[in-house]
Amino acid sequence: MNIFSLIREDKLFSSIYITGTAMAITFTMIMAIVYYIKLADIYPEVNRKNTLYLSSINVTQTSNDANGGAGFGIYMDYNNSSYETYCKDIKNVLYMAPSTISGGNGKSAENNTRRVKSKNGVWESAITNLTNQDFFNIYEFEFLSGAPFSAEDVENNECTAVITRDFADKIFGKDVNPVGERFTMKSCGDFRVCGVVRSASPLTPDSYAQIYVPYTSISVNDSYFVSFSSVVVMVKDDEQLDALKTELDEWSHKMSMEGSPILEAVGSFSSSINAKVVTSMTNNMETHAAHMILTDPNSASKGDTLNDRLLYFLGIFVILLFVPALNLCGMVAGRMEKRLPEMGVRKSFGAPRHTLLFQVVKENMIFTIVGGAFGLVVTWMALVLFRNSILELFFDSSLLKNSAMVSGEAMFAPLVFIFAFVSITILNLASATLPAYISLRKPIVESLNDKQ
Amino acid sequence: MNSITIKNLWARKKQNAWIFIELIVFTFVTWMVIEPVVKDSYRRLLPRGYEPERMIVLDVDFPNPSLRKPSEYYIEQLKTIQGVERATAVNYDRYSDQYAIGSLGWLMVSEVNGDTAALTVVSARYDLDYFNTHGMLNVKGNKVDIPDRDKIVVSRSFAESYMGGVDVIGKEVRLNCPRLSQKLPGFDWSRLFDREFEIPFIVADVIEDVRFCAAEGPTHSSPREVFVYDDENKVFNRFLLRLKSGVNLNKFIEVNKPEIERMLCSDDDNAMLAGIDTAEECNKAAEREKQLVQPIQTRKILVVFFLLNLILGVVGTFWLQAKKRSEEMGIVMAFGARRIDIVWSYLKEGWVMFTVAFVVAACIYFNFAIYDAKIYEENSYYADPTIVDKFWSCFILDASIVYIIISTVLSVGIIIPTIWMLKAKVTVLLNKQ
Repeated sequence: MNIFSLIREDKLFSSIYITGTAMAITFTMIMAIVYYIKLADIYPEVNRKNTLYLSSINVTQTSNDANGGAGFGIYMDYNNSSYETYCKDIKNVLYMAPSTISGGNGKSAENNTRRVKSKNGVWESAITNLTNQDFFNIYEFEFLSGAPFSAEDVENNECTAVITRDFADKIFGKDVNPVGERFTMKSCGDFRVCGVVRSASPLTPDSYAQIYVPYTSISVNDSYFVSFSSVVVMVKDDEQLDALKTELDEWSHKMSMEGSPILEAVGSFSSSINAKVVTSMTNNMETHAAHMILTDPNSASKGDTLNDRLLYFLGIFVILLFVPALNLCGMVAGRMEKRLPEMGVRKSFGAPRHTLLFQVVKENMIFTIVGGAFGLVVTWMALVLFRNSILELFFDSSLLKNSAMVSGEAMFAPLVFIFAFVSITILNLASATLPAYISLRKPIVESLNDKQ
Repeated sequence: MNSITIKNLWARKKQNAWIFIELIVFTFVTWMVIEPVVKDSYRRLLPRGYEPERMIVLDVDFPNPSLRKPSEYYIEQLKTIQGVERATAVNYDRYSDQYAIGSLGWLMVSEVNGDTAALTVVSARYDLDYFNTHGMLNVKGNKVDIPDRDKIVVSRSFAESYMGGVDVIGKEVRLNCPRLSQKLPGFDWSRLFDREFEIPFIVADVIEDVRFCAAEGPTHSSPREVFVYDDENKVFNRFLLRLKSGVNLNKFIEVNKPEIERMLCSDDDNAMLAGIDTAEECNKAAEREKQLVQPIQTRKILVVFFLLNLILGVVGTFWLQAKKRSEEMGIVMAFGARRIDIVWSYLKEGWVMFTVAFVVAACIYFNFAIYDAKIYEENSYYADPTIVDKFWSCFILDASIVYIIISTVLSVGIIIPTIWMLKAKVTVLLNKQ
């Protein structure tokens, strides 16, 4: 079958079909690539499958009839030591690091911007993450020189820092090895550079910063209340994850039964008589995928639960694929009417229905593949030429000031091509099968006699 | 003629079935996609209650807060700059996440004269020309006189909701509000709403409702606002400048930024200009930080995507239909029909079919809209009252917009191919199969 002759046969139908398919595939693939970036292992977040985020301890006060209730989260912080008190002794983890930037959507970037004096005397802004040594095990940064700060540095409140190569160029100059050099951070004092890493991308907001310092190195005073976005935890495998959940549940149960300073500090927030306070550390524990979905700016107003937000994304996916499919369905139905006599003649010569159906689906598949290929090319072009406008829809634009690029790794990932193929197949089957099937059910005589 | 239209439609009912179902689905999905965008646009058009288009925001860092001079000192210096009409200082706390340029506003459940309500409490330095620098006017359209520090200023919505009207100057309102009540001696969280912890205030003025961010819509809690005097000795590190009428904001920043930097550092090198921008840019940044912008932009893109699909689909479908009816056109023309009559009859068929599909889709969508309104009614504190209070206006407006859009697209899909085909001779049309 000659593709070009098929397209030339009915130019109007072909052009509308291919354009409609290309548009649907473009929008779908843009979303697919963006969410691939958010979900798949991308430098330095290469352990996303085993990474969990613990944002707060959930405290719920239930009334006696178990129907009422109020709840909130005790967020992890350093100043009031809720992190030190309640997290440091967790055993069933491979690595654990508090982080002031792991809010999932860069929302905390502005709160973590500090000023650093360059060698030229100019004050530069830098997103600074307060964390510990395990951060560099969870997020596998590539060290271009030096090494991360150690556990001893964190214990001893050492003012050491890991900085990115781009930031090092800015404050020390290009081609200078800054390891061992010192810089001043406004209101925090002098820091010594112990390591230089390849910068993360603003598209990985949980690890994106310019400076990484031990959380103990920042003076604890009224001006700087150190509040962690999350405690990031990495487990070895599912077995360790189950053990971790059990450990946290046991600990929460113990706290609920025996009381704790955290509950006294919070105080009673409900006037219910005989109210019972229940704490949980696993309620607000998120896998990376859940963390990404729950902090996605587009779904922020779509409900508080993961299921609500997943339904929202499913709705978007349906609109993006099935609305064009419906479009194309109508056009295929119209075209099938035109081809009824042809189908009638072939049926009268003994062609089985499934052969004819398969032929129609195959022909439409050609249009869909051509349209899908155009769509993919348009997607890549859009992600290069209009990246800022597109990425601002899905990421915090305050992080995108430096014009983030979508890497080739994301644009040409095998999973992306597989998703494109699946989308094209779904679109084709949805648009061609039903109208073709209905048309082919007509008796031969009716097909042959059907006049236009 | 109308009966002929309906007869023609009925005669081609098998061919028209797909199109009819397509029109119902498209109408429904168009409605779903258009409605949020209409609401977003409505919110943007609501009055803001102040004048951000004449305001500049300065963020100042004080490395050593103990050496900082009083806010009045910096304000007097800033007012000497040419082009500046007024200036004030506000407390800006990144953690508050409430307002872009306004003072620290706390959204919280409170009791107002015994009624439980969700209020926004904004603390402001009245004596630093707070209201007039913002351009806030009272309900009579006048500038706000500096009230006594122990009095409060309330918004119109607050006065109408909790005090029965806007003529409430001099009247007392009693507030139990965590932000304010926790300062009282013996305060206990478990007795937050006890009468013991009520604070009586006298209303000094009533101003028009204020929305600092344009993308934030009114809810049942906002803009029910209460402005209290900020008596805490905080380090105010944000200054607002109101420029004179006609002064270009970006030019002002470009020209005066070096002077402002020099002015701030002149005395003791303890002040640094951390940022200077227009109020609208600050508001936009706050909208992004509050994740208000991305959903709006995504909705707009979905509308564009959907409209493109609608145009392709509807135009394409009716175009193909017109091509198939070429023989019919030829016969009718052979009997003396004019081109305009043919176009008109096809248009009427399309409109009748679409109108019936629209009514079906409207009935389906109405159920969803009612369900949504009920959900919002139950969650009344933070819900957008537009959905409930103005339900019918919104529904009819959305219906009109959807009807106009789809009927326009449908008309284009019928007129253009029909006219194009009718250019051919009758014999050509009759021979086309």
